[in-house]
Amino acid sequence: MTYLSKINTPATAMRTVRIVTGLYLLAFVTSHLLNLSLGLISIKAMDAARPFLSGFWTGGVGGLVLGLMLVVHYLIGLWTIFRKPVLNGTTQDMVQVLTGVFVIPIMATHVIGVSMLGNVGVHLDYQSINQLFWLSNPEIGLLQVILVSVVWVHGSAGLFTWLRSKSNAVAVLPWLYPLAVAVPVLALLGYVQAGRAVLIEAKAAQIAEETGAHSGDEGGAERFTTDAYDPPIESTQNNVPAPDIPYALINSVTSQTIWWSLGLAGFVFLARGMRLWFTSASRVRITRGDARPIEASSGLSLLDAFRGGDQPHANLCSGRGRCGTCAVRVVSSDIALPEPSPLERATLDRIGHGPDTRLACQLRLLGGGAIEVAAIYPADYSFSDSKPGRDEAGGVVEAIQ
Amino acid sequence: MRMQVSRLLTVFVFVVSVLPTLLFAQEATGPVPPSANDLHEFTRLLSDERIQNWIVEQAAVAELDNEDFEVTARQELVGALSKIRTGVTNLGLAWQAAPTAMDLFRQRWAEQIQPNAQVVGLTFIMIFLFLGAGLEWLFRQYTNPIKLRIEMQTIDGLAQRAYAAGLRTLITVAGLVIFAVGSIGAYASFSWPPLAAVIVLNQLVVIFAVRAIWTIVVLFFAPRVPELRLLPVGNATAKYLSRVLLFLSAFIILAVSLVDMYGRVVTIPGSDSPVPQTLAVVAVGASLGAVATLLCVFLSFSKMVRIQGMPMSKSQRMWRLYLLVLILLVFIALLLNVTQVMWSIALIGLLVPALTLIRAWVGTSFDDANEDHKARALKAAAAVAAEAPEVPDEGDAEEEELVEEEVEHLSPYETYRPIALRLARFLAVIAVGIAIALIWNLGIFEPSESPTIAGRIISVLIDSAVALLIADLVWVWAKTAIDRRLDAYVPPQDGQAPGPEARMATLLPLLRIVLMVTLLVMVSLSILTSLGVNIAPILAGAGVLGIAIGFGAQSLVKDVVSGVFFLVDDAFRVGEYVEIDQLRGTVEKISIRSLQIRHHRGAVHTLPFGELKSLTNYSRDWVIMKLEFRVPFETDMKLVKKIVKQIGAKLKANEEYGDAILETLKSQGVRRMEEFNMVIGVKFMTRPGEQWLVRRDAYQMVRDAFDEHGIRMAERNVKVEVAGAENMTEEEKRAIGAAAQDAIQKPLVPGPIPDEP
Repeated sequence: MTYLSKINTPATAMRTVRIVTGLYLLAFVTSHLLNLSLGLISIKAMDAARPFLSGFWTGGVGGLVLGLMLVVHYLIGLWTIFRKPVLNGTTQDMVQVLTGVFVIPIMATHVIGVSMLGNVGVHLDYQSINQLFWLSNPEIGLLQVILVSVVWVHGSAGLFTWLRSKSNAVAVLPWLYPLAVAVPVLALLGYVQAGRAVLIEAKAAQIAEETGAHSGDEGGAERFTTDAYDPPIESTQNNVPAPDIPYALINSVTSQTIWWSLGLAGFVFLARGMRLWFTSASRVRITRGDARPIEASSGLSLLDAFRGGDQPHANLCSGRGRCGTCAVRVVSSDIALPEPSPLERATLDRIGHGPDTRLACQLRLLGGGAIEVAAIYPADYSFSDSKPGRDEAGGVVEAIQ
Repeated sequence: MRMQVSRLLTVFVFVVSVLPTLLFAQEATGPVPPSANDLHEFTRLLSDERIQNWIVEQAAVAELDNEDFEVTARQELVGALSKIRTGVTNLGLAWQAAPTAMDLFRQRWAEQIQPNAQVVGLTFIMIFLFLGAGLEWLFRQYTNPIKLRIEMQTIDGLAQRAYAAGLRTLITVAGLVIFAVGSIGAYASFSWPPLAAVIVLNQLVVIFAVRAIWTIVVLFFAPRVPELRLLPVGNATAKYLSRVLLFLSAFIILAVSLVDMYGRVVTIPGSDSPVPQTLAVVAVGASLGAVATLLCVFLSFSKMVRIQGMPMSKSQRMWRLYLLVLILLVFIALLLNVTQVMWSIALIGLLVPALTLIRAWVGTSFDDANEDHKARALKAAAAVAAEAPEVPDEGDAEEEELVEEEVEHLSPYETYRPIALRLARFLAVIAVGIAIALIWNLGIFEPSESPTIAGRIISVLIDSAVALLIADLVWVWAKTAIDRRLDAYVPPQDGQAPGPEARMATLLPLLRIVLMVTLLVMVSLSILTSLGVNIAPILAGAGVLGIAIGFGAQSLVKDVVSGVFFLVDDAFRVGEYVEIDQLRGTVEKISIRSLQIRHHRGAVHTLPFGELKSLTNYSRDWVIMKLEFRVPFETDMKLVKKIVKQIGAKLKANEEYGDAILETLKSQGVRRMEEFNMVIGVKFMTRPGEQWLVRRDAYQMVRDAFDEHGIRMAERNVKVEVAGAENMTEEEKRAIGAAAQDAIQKPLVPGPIPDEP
């Protein structure tokens, strides 16, 4: 409820929605990966924990909510790509954009396959899934590893960016970092362990077939020539008549999703390019303190200009206007500066500085000219600096007031 | 009885017969003598004709082998030419086989690796990379603030820059190691089929190697942080060059890895025959690499020209041409499969521009360091000036100039410039030398005879170069150090006592000559050894000669050696007043063998150091001088004391020698009583050499003051008391006076005053 009370502008509302949906999705991914890591024990353990760790999120209404969250998060991300003046400001931003764009095409095969099979009544267990990923369709298995990497990198990057902008999260962060590595690594190792079990089983079966002088060639051939998505295990293991599985439909839905999402992303990039093309750029000369002046093209935010000029500048939230550590005092400017957006106003009010203080990440330089600013926080500022007993940052803050 | 004797005898015989066996048990258990049967068999074998023929053949072959071992230069040339011919032939075969290269690869690949296994292998690579990257990311979360702080700090001075850049690189390297341990370690914990192992490891190593190279490039170029840049280049240049280097190294590493993988896949395990397709792929890879390198060289040169905004200079054109020729040579050598020659060309070829660059680099680094030092000294001077604001204005500019000049002169780094230059050059040459030696398999680290003539020549060259370089390094270091000390030595001005540096001025040139001779001898001996000359006779001869000369020049050697020790003891310096046995004088000259002192009356004494037993030095620290005055018994001692005190104060206030007086004149009271008077003692203490002036004035002033206060100096007088003198006539009195005169005339021998020069 406290969150809702804060939402009073579209920008902050969008920000909040993005965080909430992202956190929800990350929680699901974590839970799912923990389920996978049980593969270190056995495939049975994976299956046993499945209703609690994965099924809880995907079953029934949960699945719908998850899908909704995903779509909303994705669309907000695309909107940000369209709006942001610079995408490759930091490595982290670039990674966020790339992983965000490619996450849907990569996960489409897995998500649509599993959910549509579930709809027609085929419930895959981890035994069959692992056989599929390691034996019959290893390229899909490879795709899952890439998916885990991409999703986890995207999620944890977002999480840590968000947490770093919270001054009361400083104490938690050092403990979260190891977790952020441990969860996917354990999941992948569990996956590898399960895969090895499956591979050994298959090898044993093959040897048994060969020594037993069975004419197992046909079965083997059938097994290894199966197309994109048909688990052959269903018919053999469950001993129930296989339900009518609409493979063609699943495949077409999957490929359509992939192409549509890629097309949408491409369209967003195109639109962004057009937008940048039409807003004509001119040169801005930026002086900060006694550092050497840098040249940047207009349309960038001040923070992006600093990054482009290789001048470090404090920004704990990577330029999302949350933390207020990129604040600068405008000494002189012959460019007409835009009024602070409500988002910027809110953050400025929170950190509480004079009227000529602006957020470098939100201050966009519209038009050519020269501007001189003074940084308020040192470039290597972190929230642990503002603890009592460390007065260098405090001194800076006081000097400005 | 008889029984016993016989029994004893038996025992004795037994012992005698067993004892040698026991004693020589060692020999007995060794070669067991052949039995008669064996010997018969052996003679039979020897008489066999087949065996005889075989032995003769073996002997011939062994002789041939021995001859072969000593390869002549001609044979070697023939061998090299035939190797090149084979290389050309192989190239032709490869050219023919080239179109089938890909097909062959696909076929072998399909034979050896199942399609599913490929994908599974790729899955594993992904997982390993994720593991390594994840661990490195974790490490970075904790080290990033430190790194940022390093990048943010203001750097002043070369040392701090090098330290900060090194620290930053260390953090990066630690991350890289964690990455490698995570990914390659995870790889190693699985067992792999041999081919898959090579492929997976190849990819991991490629990624690791490229990242390692990037780390090194960042250490030197620091494209983002100009403060931490070790090389003297601008921002644009650093960015461009680091990117080009990264691209080039990544390209070449990837090409090498792919070619290697191709070779491994195509070669059928167990067969040694080379596959011509492999050579074709090598050729393609080498061509691509050569083209990429040429492209990078040309683009870099044109970019540099654009950045500096001037047309390309002649030397730049020359360097470009040089690199072009070098790349082509390496390429040809690679194609002909003469790996050793290729590496040698590449290393030596790169060493030449590298030496030029290193010289420029060291030069600019020292210039920077001097600038820093100057700026700091000027700042300090400005701070001093600011503290004393009453400095007149007109003197400012001049003063500043003076300070600047002084700073220029005093820059502490300048003397190290030649050493640093030589050291850098030395390290570069040594590194290349070791690399070439390893490539040619010369075994520089263990004494081994290289079988080929070219190898021998190269090893001699490397040995001599190393000896020369080390000697050069030591010589330059010692020479600059000695010259620095000698430059700092200021010869004493006339009349002043020389400082302790004076003896260094004597010793150091001697040391320099000794060092030079030693180094020359050692280098020539070491070069002779590496040439194969047996230097033992030379050494022995030198030893004999040394002993002969040593006996002959025993006293000379004694003089020199004891001279060194006198100088080390700091027993005397030039300009000091010394006494040796009965000889006194000022030290005028100190040579290796002898010491010259000049007596104050002009005579010059020359004393070999060997003759010096003990030596008295009158010019050290302080001198006490005692003066005596004879006054009558009725003198008022209090008055004398007061007068002496006043005079002491006056002497101390004298502006010529007042500072040299350590303890001024003071009265010591009555020193002794004599027949007709008493002796008053006064003393004072001065710096050596100043006492004479003070004494002169002290005598004069005391006399004047006594005169003024009516104190009479005691004179020798004889009081003659004659009983009934009142009745004497004038005549008699005169006679008595004349008789007493004789007593006065008798000289009273004054004792020698010890402090008289």
